[in-house]
Amino acid sequence: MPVATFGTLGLIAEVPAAPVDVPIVYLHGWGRTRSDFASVASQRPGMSLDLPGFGSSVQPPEAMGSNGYATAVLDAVTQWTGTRRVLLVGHSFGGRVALLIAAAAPDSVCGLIIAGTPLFRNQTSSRPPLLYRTVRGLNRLGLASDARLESARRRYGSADYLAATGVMREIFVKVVNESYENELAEIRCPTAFVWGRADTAAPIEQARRAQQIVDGSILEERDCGHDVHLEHPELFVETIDRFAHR
Amino acid sequence: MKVAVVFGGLSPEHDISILTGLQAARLLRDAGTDTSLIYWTKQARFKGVPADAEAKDFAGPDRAGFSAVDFTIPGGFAERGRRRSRPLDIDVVLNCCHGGPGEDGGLDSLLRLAGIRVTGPNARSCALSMDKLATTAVADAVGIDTIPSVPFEQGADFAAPFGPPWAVKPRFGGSSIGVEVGVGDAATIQTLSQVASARSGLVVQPYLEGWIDLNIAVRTFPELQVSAIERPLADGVYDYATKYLSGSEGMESAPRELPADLPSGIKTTIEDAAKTLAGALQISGAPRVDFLWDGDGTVLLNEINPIPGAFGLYLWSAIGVDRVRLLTDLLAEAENQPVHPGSWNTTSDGAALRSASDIATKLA
Repeated sequence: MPVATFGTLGLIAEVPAAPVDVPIVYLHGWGRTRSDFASVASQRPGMSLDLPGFGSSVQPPEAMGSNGYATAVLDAVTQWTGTRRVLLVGHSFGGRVALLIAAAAPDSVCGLIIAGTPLFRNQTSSRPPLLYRTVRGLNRLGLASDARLESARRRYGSADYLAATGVMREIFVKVVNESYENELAEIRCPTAFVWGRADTAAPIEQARRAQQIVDGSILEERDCGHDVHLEHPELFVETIDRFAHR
Repeated sequence: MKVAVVFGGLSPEHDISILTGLQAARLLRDAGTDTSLIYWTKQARFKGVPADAEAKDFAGPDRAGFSAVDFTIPGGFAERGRRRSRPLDIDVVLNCCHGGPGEDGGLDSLLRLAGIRVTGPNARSCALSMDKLATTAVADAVGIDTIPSVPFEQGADFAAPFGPPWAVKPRFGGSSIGVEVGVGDAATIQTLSQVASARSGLVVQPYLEGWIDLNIAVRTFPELQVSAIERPLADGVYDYATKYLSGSEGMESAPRELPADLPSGIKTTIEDAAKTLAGALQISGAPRVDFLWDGDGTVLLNEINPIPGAFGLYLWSAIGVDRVRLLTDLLAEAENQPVHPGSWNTTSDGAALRSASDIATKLA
């Protein structure tokens, strides 16, 4: 599929050369690229985006939250489809972006497929380890160097946090603790949650809770982990067809 | 022979290098070779790794059992102790690093300066191979048909002697990371040039849609020899996910036709081109050379990978060179070569120094 630049942030995306019945938009997760959805998109062509700062798309000029991502994606999608409603398919962080677009611009969206997306702030998550908090406190007082703090981050930070640098790390800190109860309550379009029962990044309980919030939504579960879109692309093809024929 | 397998490194292919390194180390150890493992971290530190390490041991921040290894010139690797470092006794390093300074000649030069023998390809061959523009120029010079390529730097005006759609690739770096095909407008090329993988420049080529990937490996030790030819079976671009994430065995289990069913003329063209290129690049090691075929009578060189994923062991197994044989030949080739290339001679005789006036006079 042809590759081109879309929207004011100049996002790189593949779009089908031929017209499509229902415009589908694929949104990948944090630290991933649009190739995540290659298997699904080869069967149900749509716009596959590299989100800002990932794959071939440049980093945003300054740190922004998930809302900034939603705005940038909607801008790119509108350039592709004009005023047509789109079916949004998002995995993990991409699912949050899809949800925010559907909540903020309901007239632009005809359906929503959300997979393996952390939707609620983890209630049980503990504070950072004591040693890390100590080093951070000492750094603020000027008693521990920035290098010492960075070393402590490397010891205690999550893999995604460590992999991010510069503005992407600021963005990660902004988005990591977001919670989406309010946005879920505003969703009116056909919605499916597609999940792996063994997902540790976004536990299945989150999908069950979200399904209760979104009226008429469906939940498809499989015995797999976080990457349900890689392990069960056929499930996405089926769900897309179900929505497209409504 | 005491072998140290070095893997990891500063590259987007860091993880794949770990897999290549662990597989190679396990094969050598099971074959009775005295083998140690040295992990090159993303922070450019060296770490000693237990022989039974698994891939998942590298996935998280907790790397219990890894030990600090220092590197000095001269001296090479030394295990850091409480009071003093203990030099590691190494005859040959098996370089398993894909991409970045592990594959572009940086690591090769570093090790040779420290007096350590290292498997190929050597630094000069690597540097030429990792620069798509340089590879094309060398291939053109020896009569190998190549894909027309023009360089592009961020901010420049784009002009090509061929029309869209284009394939846009980072000029340096061996993986498919950052490769975009089917690009139809110059503005997108400009955008792609701003991404990290493209900061050292891009090459733009015509996008040969529908052409068939054909890969072959070549080595010059113990004699000039080519492997079987593989035809990867995947839709569209043979991308990173297909190559490395499609199965637990990575490259070894990616879908492919091996050996590829080809007209004899095409097979001969590819085999001859791979051998000619190996000569022109003065290659050592066992690089993989990738071609594109139009399905009819035209074959074009795509690129050469100095240290391909899993060393392309499957390509060699297909002609009866088993995996351990390939690795031990790589090590023997390194052992039989001088640590310092002949071009690093120090034959200047001091005459220029003896006859020189003082520096202040020279600067006046």
